[in-house]
Amino acid sequence: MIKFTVKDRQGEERIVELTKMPEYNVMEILKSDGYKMRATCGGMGLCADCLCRIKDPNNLIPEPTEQELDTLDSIPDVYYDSRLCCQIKPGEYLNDIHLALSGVDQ
Amino acid sequence: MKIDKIVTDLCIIGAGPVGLFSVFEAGLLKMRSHIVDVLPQVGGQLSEIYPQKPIYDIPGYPVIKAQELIDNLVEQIKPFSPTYSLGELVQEIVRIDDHTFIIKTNENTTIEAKAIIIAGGLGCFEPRKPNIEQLELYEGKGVSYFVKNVEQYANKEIVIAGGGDSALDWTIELSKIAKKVSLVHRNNSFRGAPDTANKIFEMAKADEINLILGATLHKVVGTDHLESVHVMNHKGEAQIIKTDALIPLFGLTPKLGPIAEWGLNLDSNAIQVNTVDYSTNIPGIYAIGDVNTYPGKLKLILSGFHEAALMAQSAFKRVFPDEKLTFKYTTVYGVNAF
Repeated sequence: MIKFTVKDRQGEERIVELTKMPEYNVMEILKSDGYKMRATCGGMGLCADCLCRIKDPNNLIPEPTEQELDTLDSIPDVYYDSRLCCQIKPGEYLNDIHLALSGVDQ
Repeated sequence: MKIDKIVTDLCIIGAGPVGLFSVFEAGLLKMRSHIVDVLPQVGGQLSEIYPQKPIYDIPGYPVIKAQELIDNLVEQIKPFSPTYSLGELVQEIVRIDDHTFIIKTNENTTIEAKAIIIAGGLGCFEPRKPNIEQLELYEGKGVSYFVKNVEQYANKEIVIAGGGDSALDWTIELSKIAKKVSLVHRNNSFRGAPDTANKIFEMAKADEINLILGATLHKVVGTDHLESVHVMNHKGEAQIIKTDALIPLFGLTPKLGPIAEWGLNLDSNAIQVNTVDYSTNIPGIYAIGDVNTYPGKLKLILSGFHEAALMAQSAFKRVFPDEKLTFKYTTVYGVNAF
């Protein structure tokens, strides 16, 4: 079981639990868990609707993809820990992370 | 000032794939179309956001690039000679009588149509704005998100923010006429076109521009006009740049925009429709593609194509109330241009 904390755009925190490893990305995981995601580009890492900030105490999350870096480089309000949910594949490394959503909900 | 009025059967708002295909379905039924889109080119998000990305779920195409699909659709609708108002935002819709609407754009274009087809996707593309307090206060008073008139920056001090190609290109271009251009970017390098990035570094070295890397916009200050921009580096150290203008260039993002003001029934920023013909709560206004919602809605291009076909059958009855609608296959009757 993978457990991580998600803070929605209204500031409410909740634990998300994954009992099995889905094939899709974190944006889709959150969407199917009830979080609103406009996802204009559908998960290509282009629109930044799924922009978030991630605190990763274990420092295990894979580095951003080239596409992710390109997009993060061209949008405002990006911090050292900003990521695009759609470019993060699920894995054990999601355990214990704290993910704060800041993109566009609908 | 424009005085001419465009008279058409259907006014299609949105030139994405679904809006374009509506021209075809309408054309088969002898209805003329005029398309309006806020972007300067057709294609909607396919051309604006992901032109080179492959799409795998267009029937008949195992794979097709987004821009290629748009190019094909433009070719497909040519027989029906659609007209376009591109780079214009529909601001107002007025219902004249049961069968006539007047549509007005921000560029004062007036369109008279018998039905309106909203194929606006996720809305109209607007500049992505940085989250800075009071930024909107200075919009039009020093802050702008597009460079519309280059001459207005002659002999001015300008701050450009962003790291994409357009931020770099405008920095180079405006440095030719401005008194001083400062480029603020959050990283220490640029990921866009290497030649352009090299040019920026060379210009900074030659003191032709003021390049501020590893910093972000923090604050805007002024009275009745923008006077300075505060930027902050990663260590939290602030720098004040005296300036006449700030141009944040962070790309575009869709917003529902004026559609929300037209009295249509909305559900979470999407227009509620009747799935019989994708009509809205206002007779004569249809909504198709990503902009609509109904039970079971899938935001897929192929769903939008289906919706366009059904919409056209219904719109025909409004455009030609006295004529009988005969269902025709293109394999039998072909495509009769007009």
